[in-house]
Amino acid sequence: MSSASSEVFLRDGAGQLVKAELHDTILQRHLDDHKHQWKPLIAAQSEQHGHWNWEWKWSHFSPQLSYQFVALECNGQTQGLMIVNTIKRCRIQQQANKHLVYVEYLEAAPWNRRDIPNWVRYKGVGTVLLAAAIQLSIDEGNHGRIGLHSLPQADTFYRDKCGMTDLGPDASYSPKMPLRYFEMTETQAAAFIH
Amino acid sequence: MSKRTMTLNLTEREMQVLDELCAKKGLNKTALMRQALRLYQAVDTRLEQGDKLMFENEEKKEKSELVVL
Repeated sequence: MSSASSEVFLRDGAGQLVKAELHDTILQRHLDDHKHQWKPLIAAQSEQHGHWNWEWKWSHFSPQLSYQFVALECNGQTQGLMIVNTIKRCRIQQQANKHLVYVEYLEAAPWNRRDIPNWVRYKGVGTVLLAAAIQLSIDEGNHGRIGLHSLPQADTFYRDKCGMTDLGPDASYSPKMPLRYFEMTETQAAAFIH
Repeated sequence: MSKRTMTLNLTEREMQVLDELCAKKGLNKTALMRQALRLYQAVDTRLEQGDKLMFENEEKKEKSELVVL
């Protein structure tokens, strides 16, 4: 599988800008990094998404055109992974039934998580991946509209930092675990990008 | 991801529907046709797995199966 990559920037622990590459697919080396470098740390922290298996996700979703993939690499190491769905539709009244890009899975490498003290190697992984989802939405003609269900640990990030509209817990996602559904309008997307 | 170009031949009626859907959804023709292809594949995959494609109207309490060939 070939991939195209574009240059983006993250910040290192000292706050300095560092170059990173955003790939428009997930490559075997990204899956290997997840398995051998992320997984042991995630397991040690009992994360809410500790059961996520990116090899399975890749093999299950990659044959389907409705899914697209993004990997973020910096310093030869995978820093973030994302899978989006391009056939879902909006729920906010003002844009109901219009197409959006739905973020199925977004994960930053455990050493980039801000809620784990003294671990942050690169800042901005979640922001860059969300910006990539917005750009994809623009490229698809959806004007930046995106949506996602958030794990509780990320609710504040999507609501306060990204400015997405919080539509509350969604029982249709899972009655046992009704994650909150967040959606971004065209206006919110423009504000986030700028 | 690199893209390839093809010519698509449509009847007047098909082109009219395509234009109408593009206007309604705010998409250009390429985006709409790509969306249609994704949806067709997603539906076909689920049907091959033995699933049914259903439409439900909660207000009217109606449920009907869409038979896709």
